[in-house]
Amino acid sequence: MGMDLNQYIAKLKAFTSQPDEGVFDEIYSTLRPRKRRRFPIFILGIGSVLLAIVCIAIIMDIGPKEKNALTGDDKGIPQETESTNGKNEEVKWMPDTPHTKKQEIRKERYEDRSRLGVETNQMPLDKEKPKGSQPSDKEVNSQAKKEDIRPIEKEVVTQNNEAPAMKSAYRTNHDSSPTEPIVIAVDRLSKLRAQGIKNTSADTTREMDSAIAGKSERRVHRLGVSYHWSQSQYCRGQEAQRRSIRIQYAHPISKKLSLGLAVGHNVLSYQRELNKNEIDEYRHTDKYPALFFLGDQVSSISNELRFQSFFTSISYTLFSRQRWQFSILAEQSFMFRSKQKLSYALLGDRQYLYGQNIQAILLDQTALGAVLDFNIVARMDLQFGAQYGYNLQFIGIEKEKYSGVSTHVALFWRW
Amino acid sequence: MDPLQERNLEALIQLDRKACHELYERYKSTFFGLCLRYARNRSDAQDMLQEGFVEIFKSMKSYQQKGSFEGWMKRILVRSAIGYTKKEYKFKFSELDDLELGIPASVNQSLDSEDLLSVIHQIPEKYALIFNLIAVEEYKSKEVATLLGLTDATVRSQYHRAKEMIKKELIKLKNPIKVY
Repeated sequence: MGMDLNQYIAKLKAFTSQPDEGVFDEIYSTLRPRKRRRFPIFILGIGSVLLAIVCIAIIMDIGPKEKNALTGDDKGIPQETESTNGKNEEVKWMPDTPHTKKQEIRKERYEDRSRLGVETNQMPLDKEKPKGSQPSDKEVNSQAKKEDIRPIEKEVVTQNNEAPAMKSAYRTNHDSSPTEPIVIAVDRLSKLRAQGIKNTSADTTREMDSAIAGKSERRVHRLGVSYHWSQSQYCRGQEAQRRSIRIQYAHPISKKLSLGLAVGHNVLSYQRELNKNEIDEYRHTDKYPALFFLGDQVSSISNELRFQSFFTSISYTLFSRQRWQFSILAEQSFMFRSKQKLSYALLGDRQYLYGQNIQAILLDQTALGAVLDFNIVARMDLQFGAQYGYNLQFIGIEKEKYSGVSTHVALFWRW
Repeated sequence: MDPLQERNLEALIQLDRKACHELYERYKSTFFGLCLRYARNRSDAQDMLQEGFVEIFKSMKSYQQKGSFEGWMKRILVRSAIGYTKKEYKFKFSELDDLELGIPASVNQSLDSEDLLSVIHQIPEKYALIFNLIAVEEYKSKEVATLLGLTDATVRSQYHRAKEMIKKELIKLKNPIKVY
């Protein structure tokens, strides 16, 4: 019997068996997460690019104003004015509070008459009141009563009638009757000053002109829904279709810059025929996992990826007219829940399905594009856009690259 | 280490799919046979094989290129198999075990019809494990004692008992294994 045991042990030592197909795939897919550590670095790179775009756009948006304000070389009110004795004197502006009720103005005026003469709003300090150009209190009040306007602000205009900004607004709309009050322009100026713009610049002048012309450049929030479709190139010129529907919100950062946030549902799909060379090429890659053991039986593969994603974008308005505006944008999207279905068509009308669900935040698409907004009715905008996008997707153990142009249409409600 | 592995060692460390696949193809039969000896059914053996290969690939960096590459991989696989059997079959070794009589564990014969394996599957897992390690893998009883956290005397005692059980099972076989 001892002999039998030894033989048995010898047979056990020599015993071999074949495991099922697909075990190696599972082994390798377990090992794969080690390689995905490069993701955060890649996302960091994309984030840096977006941040750089935002910074450039902000500089483009506010740069000229700051420059003008610092140099004072624009056509606005000069920081230095020539005094009557020929010396350059720095003009200091008093803090200003916009008044909205004429009763308050009148009350203030009558209670502090001495202040009105010297420290009226925007009156330069250490500068004598120009004789003949300053109307008396009585005149101002009677004028206010007659025309129901703001006497102090009117006074500002008359006191600083050398100011080019005022002149600009004046010339634009009141060439025919220079004595008429330019209430709208002054109101606009008052508001701008209340917002902290102490010095009137060329930009301010333009805003005043716009205000007089009835144009509003105020910041707008927008909420809308959009539908996107694209034909993306992937793998040697073949095409993939992508459809997505999104809910979007655009938050204004400045008058021309806005930050966009969106969530959407996407479907990306393609079908491709595979020849023997391609099968051999892809068999040992991550691209089509089951190709590894299905081998030459595969005739074609269709891939359908359904995923939810969130989008961040930054847009900059290049041109704006009364009914339309043209903007450029940069966008980065991330998928956070995806479901992939790979269908391998085999010879003999057989089919092998490979599916997986991914619950992770993965990189989706980086896009640059342009959009055109039409104001169709009050508070409603219709948007058309085109983008060039680049996708680098890692879905489970599959890696795909896409690039192509997508178009979209969107409807926004703004407030 | 033979030339194939030497050439591919760097690729294996980098977890290159092709290199990993070549290694798997080369050893899958041998290692799956080993796993079948420790596991109670084919499904468990595949899980064991999977965990073992994952450990092997992860440990490639630590391979010192001394001694047999296959032996090095087998040691990793055996350790992985021991961990799996302890975890999945939930048995405990006890110093008192060698005073007890071996009670055959429940056997799912339908999962593996091969006589070779059915014999070893007839005896309790802990005895089968010690038998496999000493008789088949040729570990020393002290090494097994260290691996399983037992005393050397207990291991030897249980190995002796395991051999007796195997002998009985071999006799029980209706169609005993032919002795060549």
